[in-house]
Amino acid sequence: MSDPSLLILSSLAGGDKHGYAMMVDIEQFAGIRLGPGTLYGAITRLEALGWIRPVGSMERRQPYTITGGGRRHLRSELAKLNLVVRIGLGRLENV
Amino acid sequence: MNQVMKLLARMYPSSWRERYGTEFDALLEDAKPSARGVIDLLFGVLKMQLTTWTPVKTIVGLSILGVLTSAALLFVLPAQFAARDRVLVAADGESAAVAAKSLIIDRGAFDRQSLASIIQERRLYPRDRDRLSQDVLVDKMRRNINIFALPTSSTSNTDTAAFEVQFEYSDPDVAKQVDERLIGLIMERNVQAAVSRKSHWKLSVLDPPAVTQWHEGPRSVRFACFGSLVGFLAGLLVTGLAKWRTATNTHS
Repeated sequence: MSDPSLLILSSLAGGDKHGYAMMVDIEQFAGIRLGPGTLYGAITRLEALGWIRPVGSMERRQPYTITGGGRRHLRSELAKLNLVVRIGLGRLENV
Repeated sequence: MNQVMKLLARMYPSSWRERYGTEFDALLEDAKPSARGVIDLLFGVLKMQLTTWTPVKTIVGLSILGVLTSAALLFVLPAQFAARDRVLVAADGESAAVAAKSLIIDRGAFDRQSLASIIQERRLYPRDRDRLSQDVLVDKMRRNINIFALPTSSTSNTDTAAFEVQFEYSDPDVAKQVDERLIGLIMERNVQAAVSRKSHWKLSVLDPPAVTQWHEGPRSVRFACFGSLVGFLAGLLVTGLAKWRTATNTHS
């Protein structure tokens, strides 16, 4: 799974985070280091789609939260991935 | 590296920077600067710029980028030189243009065997000699030979035609030597051809061979045109893909 959007939504599903915190979290749970251009390209897209939104902050580091629509999208995408993973693993075991 | 990243961050569209600029700068301060980060940022800038550009701006922008890239390539690529020899053909009672064509094409002045022997003698294309066959090298040499007809005046009895033989190569001295050798081949064919016909075609070399650098002159214009064409087509492709993507997102 290397889609930046899914990685960001998965990271925010665990709690609100700002850009750098997402970067570190994603590196820890997926082993993928998103570059700043990729990260903010995906954040821009996700916010435009209404799947994430900024939460109030007095700091320069802006935290984001996942919305209801974002959770539904993430659940649906992960379910599809889960199906692929189960089928793939099952076939590997039967060989 | 940090300065480069900060500079690149300034290149995002102004509307985007108004919304995300402050937090993005904060992220760049936190993240460890790296070469990979710079490349990622560069692609991020390009992508974001392209999403905010109108189709016309995209096509014009990529065309300009194509011209600039081709101009940069022109200076990065090794220099190429062109040697030029001008030959005058005088033919009594015959068309000199036909005579010139007969010598070069019909009599095969530049046949494979002759060109292969020049490649051997002058040790042309040293980098390609180990990996390419002789036939391929001869084809390559033929692509480096250009023949142009030149305007001339004719008297009532004697028709004259002039043509220029040009050879392009990376070494100006070798280009000159090979060009002279090519003229020598045409002269040899004229002597051989004179035996089988009654009339005599007089061939004379007009000037000493001139050597100029490859990208000085109309070729650089052609290079720039090619770059702008590639940029223009890329612009059309990008705007087409953007429209298709928007349509797909709207349907889904």
